[in-house]
Amino acid sequence: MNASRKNFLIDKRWAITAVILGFLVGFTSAVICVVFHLIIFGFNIMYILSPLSAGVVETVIARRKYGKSTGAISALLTFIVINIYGWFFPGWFYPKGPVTLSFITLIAIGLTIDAAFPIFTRYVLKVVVVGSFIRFISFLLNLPSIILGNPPVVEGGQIIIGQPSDEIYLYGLTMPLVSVPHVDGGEIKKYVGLVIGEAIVEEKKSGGRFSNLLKTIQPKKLDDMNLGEARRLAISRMLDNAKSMGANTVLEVLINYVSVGGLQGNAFIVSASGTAVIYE
Amino acid sequence: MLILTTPTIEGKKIIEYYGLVTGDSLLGASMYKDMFSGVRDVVGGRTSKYEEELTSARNMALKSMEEKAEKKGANAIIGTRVAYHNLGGTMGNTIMVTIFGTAVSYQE
Repeated sequence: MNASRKNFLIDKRWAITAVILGFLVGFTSAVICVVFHLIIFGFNIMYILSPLSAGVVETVIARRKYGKSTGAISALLTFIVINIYGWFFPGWFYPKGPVTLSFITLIAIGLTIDAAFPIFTRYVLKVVVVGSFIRFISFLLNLPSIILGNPPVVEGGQIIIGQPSDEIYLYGLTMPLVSVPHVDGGEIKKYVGLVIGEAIVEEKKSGGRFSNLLKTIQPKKLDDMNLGEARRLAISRMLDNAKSMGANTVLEVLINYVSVGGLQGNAFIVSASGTAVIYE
Repeated sequence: MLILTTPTIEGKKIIEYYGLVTGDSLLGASMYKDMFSGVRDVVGGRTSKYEEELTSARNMALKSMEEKAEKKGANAIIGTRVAYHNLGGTMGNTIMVTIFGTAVSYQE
């Protein structure tokens, strides 16, 4: 027990040193700021400077000696100490007015919390804030129908079967396209080569500005994409390529979908590839 | 150069395997901007600039793979796969087309 505790301390000695040194630097800078009245815009700069310098010192030492970051514990400690002093014991250490809640104080609090708990703040920013914003917008959009007394139908979790537009088209072929490399009962007379067909399908842009805004936050529906049409186009282009090279069917057809797009809209590349052959 | 997606050539004998050959090409983001600024009739129009660009990028990848196979002394590539990757970005994307296969020589 004693030995394992010793090992733990030896393992973590640089981490602990980094935290203590960082805290000392932060505390010293806070004392200097208070003693010399370093006040800018009516606000003592120690609220920003001290946690930041503590965090910087701790991180630099930890990276150099410990090998990884220690999570800016000293920044948080400095922040807590400074704020307890500033809010609850003004003038205890040195004559000084109490801290007031201002925009800069709020920014400093945010910065320090972000330095201490990066994952937590990312979660709050990305999931909680965005999520509540989305809820709020959809509430606003649905508000008229709620007031009129017919709440909107909420769809969810149901599978919508797309139109099999390519399948109807493929039934009309004399030689079927196959997705296997070998077909029994016949003979491959000649291999023609690789054939590829591509099609790009863009998300349908219909309706007004509001429904487009809603589309960015709602789950996608199959109807939005016209994927069947794009697949039919890709396959028929591949078949056109094969026919122009003199083949009568395509073996080992593979169909691929790649999503492209960003904030301005979504699109899919649908590609079909296979080996064109003359088959009898 | 015979390029096939099948793992074998029926009725022919493969005499030597030369190994994997690949070809890549990138499709830049500026094309993507064009796509969403002007070209709206994407589906249905074969003339769409973006699709043409995609085809030429794919042909470039195919050509570079073929050259590598020729350099190795192969006369066919079997087991070919074509893949398209989205390399990301929020306003415009870069699309990578990769083609890979096995270079072989077979008895004609």
